[in-house]
Amino acid sequence: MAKKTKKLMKKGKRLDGRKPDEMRPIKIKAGYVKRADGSAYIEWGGNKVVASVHGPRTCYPRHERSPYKARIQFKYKLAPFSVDDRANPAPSRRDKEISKVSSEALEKAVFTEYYPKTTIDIYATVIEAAAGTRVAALSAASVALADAGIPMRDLVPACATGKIEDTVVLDLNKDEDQEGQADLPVAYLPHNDEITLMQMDGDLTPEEYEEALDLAVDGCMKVYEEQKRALRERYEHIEQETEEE
Amino acid sequence: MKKIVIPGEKIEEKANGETYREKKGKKTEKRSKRYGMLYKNNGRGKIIPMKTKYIPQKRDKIIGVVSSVKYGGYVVDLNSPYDAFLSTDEADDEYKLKDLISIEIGDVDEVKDTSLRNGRKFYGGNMIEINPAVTERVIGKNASMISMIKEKTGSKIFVGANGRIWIKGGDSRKTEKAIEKIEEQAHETGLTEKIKKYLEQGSD
Amino acid sequence: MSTDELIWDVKKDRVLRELKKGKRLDGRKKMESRKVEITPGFLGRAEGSAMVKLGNTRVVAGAKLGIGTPYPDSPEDGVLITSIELSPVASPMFETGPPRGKTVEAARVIDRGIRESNMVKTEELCIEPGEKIWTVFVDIFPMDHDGNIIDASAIAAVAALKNAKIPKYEDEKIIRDEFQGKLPTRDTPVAKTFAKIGDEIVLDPEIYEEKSKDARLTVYINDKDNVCASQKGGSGAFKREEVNKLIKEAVKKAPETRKQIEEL
Repeated sequence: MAKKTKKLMKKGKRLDGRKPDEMRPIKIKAGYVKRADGSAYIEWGGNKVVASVHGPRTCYPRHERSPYKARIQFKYKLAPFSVDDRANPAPSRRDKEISKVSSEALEKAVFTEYYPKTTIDIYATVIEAAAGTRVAALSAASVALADAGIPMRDLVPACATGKIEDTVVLDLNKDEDQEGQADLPVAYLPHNDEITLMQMDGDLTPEEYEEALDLAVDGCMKVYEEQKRALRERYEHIEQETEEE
Repeated sequence: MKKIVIPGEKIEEKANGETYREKKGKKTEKRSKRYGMLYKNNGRGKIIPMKTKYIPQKRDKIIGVVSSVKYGGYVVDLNSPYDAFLSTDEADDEYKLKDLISIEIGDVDEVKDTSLRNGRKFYGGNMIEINPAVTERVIGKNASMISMIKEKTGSKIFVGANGRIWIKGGDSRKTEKAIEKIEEQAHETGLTEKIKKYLEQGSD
Repeated sequence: MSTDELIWDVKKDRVLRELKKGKRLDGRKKMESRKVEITPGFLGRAEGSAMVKLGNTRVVAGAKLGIGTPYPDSPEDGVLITSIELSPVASPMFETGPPRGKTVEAARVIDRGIRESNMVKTEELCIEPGEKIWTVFVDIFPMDHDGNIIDASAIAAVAALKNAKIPKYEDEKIIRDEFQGKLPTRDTPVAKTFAKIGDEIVLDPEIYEEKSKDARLTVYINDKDNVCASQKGGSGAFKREEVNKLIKEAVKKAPETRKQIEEL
């Protein structure tokens, strides 16, 4: 992973000024695409991701249709202009892997048994990438599902932690991701304290892994607050304390 | 009282079926399944989702579009991920492809196979589609909202529980715009007044 | 007819009925376009970019530069490649998968106007004659399909090219965060798309009109008020008088859009 020995920390702070447990700025907008059943747009660090939900709708091909529940299909993609060297428009192996584990991360949260024989399709495209795209995409997708009115047990926030210069840190930026010693993206169901997505590469002792996992969950809780804020934003002014009508 | 609820959020009040129960240690927590608005009146709560897809429910009265003519009946599009079948003896006329009909949902089984009853064809008029979650608002308490619209525009209106609305005659453009406004502002306070003002003045 | 197509057909009847009375569903006049909003430089990792909203239709375009080899018949010219992805993000009617006829047509139509107007000074994109040139990739990503992706994409692509910068190229390597000047461009081609529904023709169709159309005509106008590209789409037909009338209409409407792009 670490090729050059580029200094990533200085006097306990990271190059972008953050402390080890500090997250990059994050902002989510619910209901971004008019022509989707549900949608969300996220800006997180330098990441920009748009997520649309179509469904529940009839599931084709027929052999993928379940008589008991809805199929959750998440498709993640990087737009060609989202990275430094223009990316090939066709989905890469990385895109396909992320799509699969992200679909699985969302399954537990959705009441799929409500919609037998259907599919719930989520499409997330990264239009600007800056490390942590898969957790940004998943966090936006979760808001998009709620926006579509799909019944869920909980929202699904996601966040990544890693290790740079032997320090466990939250929310790696581009340089830290490339030059760091480990990367651990995680998706989390807050009310059940359950992890539904977890991947890791790098080099972590079991103690460091535990520390990184706990820190990732903390990060997820911060993302969760932003997800809730985004959903409340549109209707906050309508809430009222008094009873009427 | 009205409060926004998010999926997974704990609900203290008594609420309708849009909640689920989860064991937390020795206690059970009641949580919202939906992104919606929780209305509370006299200790009773009701969650109205912000948006929803129409799923057929027994006894619902809806508007369907004939999508296929078969021997013995018709396949009807319900504005839902599920289609349904209407047998010819439940149809009040011979239908053609694209005919608009009002129908009642009969039995719905666990895999959402749906039977239909009481087909009645619509003649003329226009159909619009809105978010099925707000059809109740279009009708209003004791049909107050829809009666007001009918009175002020002279249109004939039929509201299907599946989010489809049939409008004929009168100032149908105004009727449509009024319904669109209700859809946009479904949870706002004093909606009836706002719509009344719009219908009387043509603006709001 | 699939159920989806059937429902669109029901809506089509309505569009046509209102058009016969001279009304469009959103209240516009027949030759009236929706409001255009352009945000240049929207993307941080593209050398040039723009986000465009045409009514509710939203499109983002990114221009990226890379090192390439020239075409054998133009050894000292840079290369321009335009692509579009009709992604399901923008509409439940789009599917994932390799580009099909519709996608390829859209990309080529948008490209045609840019190419035929000679907007990009490809002669100034040579690094080593016959060996190395700059390739300019324009990738268009519609994010919300409320009708007329073509015109919105054309504006986005042109705006992205206009604010594009050439990255520094040193020791055979591209240094992405440093630049050696703007991408050399001239002129501002503008596309205007019309939809024919029955016997009625409208400018800038929104989604219901687009789905109801029998035929579509896109006309690209260059700075000389001449047509530099055109494309007829859809299985219907146009009469010659209609085509001539629409070209004149496009010439009339293009300057306003051109001004909006140039004033960014």
